[in-house]
Amino acid sequence: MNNIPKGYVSFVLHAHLPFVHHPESENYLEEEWLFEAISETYIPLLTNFKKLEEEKVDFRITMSLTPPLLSMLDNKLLQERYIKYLNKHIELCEKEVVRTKDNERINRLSKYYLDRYSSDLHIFRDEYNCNIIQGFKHFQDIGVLEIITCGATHGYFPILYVNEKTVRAQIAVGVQTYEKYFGRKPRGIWLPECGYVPEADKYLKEFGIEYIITESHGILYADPAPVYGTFSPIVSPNGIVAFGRDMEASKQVWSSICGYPGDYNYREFYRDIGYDADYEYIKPYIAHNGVRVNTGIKYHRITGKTENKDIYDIRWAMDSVEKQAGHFFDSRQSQITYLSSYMQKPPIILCPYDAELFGHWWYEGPYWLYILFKKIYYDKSDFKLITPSEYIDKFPEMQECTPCRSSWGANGYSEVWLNELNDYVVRHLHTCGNRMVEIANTYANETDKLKISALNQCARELLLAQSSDWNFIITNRYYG
Amino acid sequence: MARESIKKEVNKKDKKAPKAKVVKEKSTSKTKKPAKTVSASNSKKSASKKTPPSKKRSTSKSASVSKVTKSTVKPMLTEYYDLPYRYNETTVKILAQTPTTLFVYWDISDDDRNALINKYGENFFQETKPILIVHNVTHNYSYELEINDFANSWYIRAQEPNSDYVIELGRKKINNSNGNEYIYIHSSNDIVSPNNQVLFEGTDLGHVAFKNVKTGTLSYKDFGSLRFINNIDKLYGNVYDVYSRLYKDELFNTLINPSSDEFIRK
Repeated sequence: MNNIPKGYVSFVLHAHLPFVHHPESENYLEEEWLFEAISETYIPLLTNFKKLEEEKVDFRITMSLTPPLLSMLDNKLLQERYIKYLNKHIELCEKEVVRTKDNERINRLSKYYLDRYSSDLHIFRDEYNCNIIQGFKHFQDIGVLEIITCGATHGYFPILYVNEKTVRAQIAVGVQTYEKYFGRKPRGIWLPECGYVPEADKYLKEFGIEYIITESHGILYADPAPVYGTFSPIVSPNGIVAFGRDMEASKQVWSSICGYPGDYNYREFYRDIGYDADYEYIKPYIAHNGVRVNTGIKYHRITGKTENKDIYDIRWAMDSVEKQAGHFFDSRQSQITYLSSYMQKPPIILCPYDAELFGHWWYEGPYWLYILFKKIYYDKSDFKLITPSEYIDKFPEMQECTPCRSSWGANGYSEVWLNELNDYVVRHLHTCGNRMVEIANTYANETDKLKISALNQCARELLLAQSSDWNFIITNRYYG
Repeated sequence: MARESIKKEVNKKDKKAPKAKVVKEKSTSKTKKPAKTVSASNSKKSASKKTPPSKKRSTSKSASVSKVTKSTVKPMLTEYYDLPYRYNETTVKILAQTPTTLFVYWDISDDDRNALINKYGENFFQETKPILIVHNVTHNYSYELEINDFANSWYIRAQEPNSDYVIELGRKKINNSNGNEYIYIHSSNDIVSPNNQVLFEGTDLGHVAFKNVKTGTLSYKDFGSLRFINNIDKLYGNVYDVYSRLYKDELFNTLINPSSDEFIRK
């Protein structure tokens, strides 16, 4: 590594799950989204960060932890239920070790899963005292992880801003929640779905937000045209710094044609004993109403364009991880070498992804990050990892442009959250937003406890209704 | 390739898995258990966690009370209700769905309807037809769209991206010998449609504004001493050529977030 880097790479992982909390019943499958994400994404990320810390590898990564996710991770009941989930998985794994004893390759995997879930239980209960927010906070406190916030409930600004006060509330609650858990103000925000409207800038500013992440064309189509494209942030007339997604790095990871997660050696997401195992055997471990669902125990690899899937082999998968980390490393190296000759400042390659891609969808993803970060630290290269905040501090001079109204949804604008299937919700969201603003003003100085409770309940209900997840679900239900 | 195989697998699993049963334990399951696909790409979860289909949308004003069996010991809260069809408020609101598609919804309150009837006669709504007037404020032109009384929202093909729009709701006499008399009812919020191209025009390369976000100092940099028109090549050479070299087969707006790209294929 040279002393003066020619450029920087910045990873931003967006961690979000819709708020699901059902004290009245344990039979809601949706709570398992959280448990799966803890076991497959959040704990593996923390484990790999910890390995890097122990190996004294200096790295940088940025994560948005949304208020709904933080609230769920902090919830006692959900913590207890996660432990129950793990115990049930450990029980199933123990049965699996017996059931698969005649097939050496599968049996080895079943033991691996038994280890994994047992270790999750230890890490969750004993190391993090059931609250993994502490884990993320630790890495922020030692300076390798920058945590940013998000809208209160992932409300999509380009729909909500018809009443700007509702966008202001999304930002305000996002910032308050962050402060509650991390004891400081967030410097950046992940705009829900990267939905950008310039009208939100003044509220971002009001709550001390310095920067946002946008989709590539949020920068490329900015006004005036940005001379450095997405390879440098821009600053809006209201003083909000915008970083744009790098297309090449995105493509290498996301692409359905050549993306890393499609490697034949990687674990096949869609083969799960929840579907494959004998029904009576698996029944206690699937949905309460008997519907087969994923258990997380998967024995096959992607193999190829075939229905005939080979058994997953962790060592082969690790080989692929090393190769792909090398490929990503080399790609960034040549990209930065090329770009730096055109630019008067070091380029930044911003790589934003859904956090749950790493581990949940792409099982080997967290390990890939670990290998890549080690490589960047040890191998000779012209670039370093950086967080958006650090880049702003190092290179505070940037072109002034208004970013383009955009999102990271299909086709880059609002079609996912506003289309013929879900557009009927818009009038309800707007009307409820208007009513909330009205009663908030009417009862601004209310002291009666009961009325304050009622007002807060209204605010919570409104915020929950505003979540972009609903619009997404409605769209998805018809296409899924 | 991965995603293709994923799709097939989903279909296969769909066949394998028993059909989702209607959850009987709660009458509220319709609203409580939406299928959701978390983040990355399509939708194993929606395949496996499918719920009974609920009504496409509610049109009834009254709350539909779900059945509660007498044998139920627990007190059941009636949490399911239909959303109101309308709020009885005169409103016109627009949003931009894409750079060239606007979404507009509207309503006229009963009071305003009666006021119109009092002013123009009992058959006002029968003798007139609803229209929307689309004003492109940026480019200073307007056009009229005929709609109908069965709709309460509309998608409008807009000509210009990056433009300020306001939409007016009004009515026109169906048969009027004095020409098409127009009656104004309500105006919308104004919105700016998103931009959809690199704004080469209007970018003065000789005078590019840079701001130091720490000090607030503005400075101007020269990215080409000649007139802009002579420097387009240079601009391309600077950055956009870099893009086209790096991403030969990608258009700027075809690379999309896979968490949603599979779903909206029209």
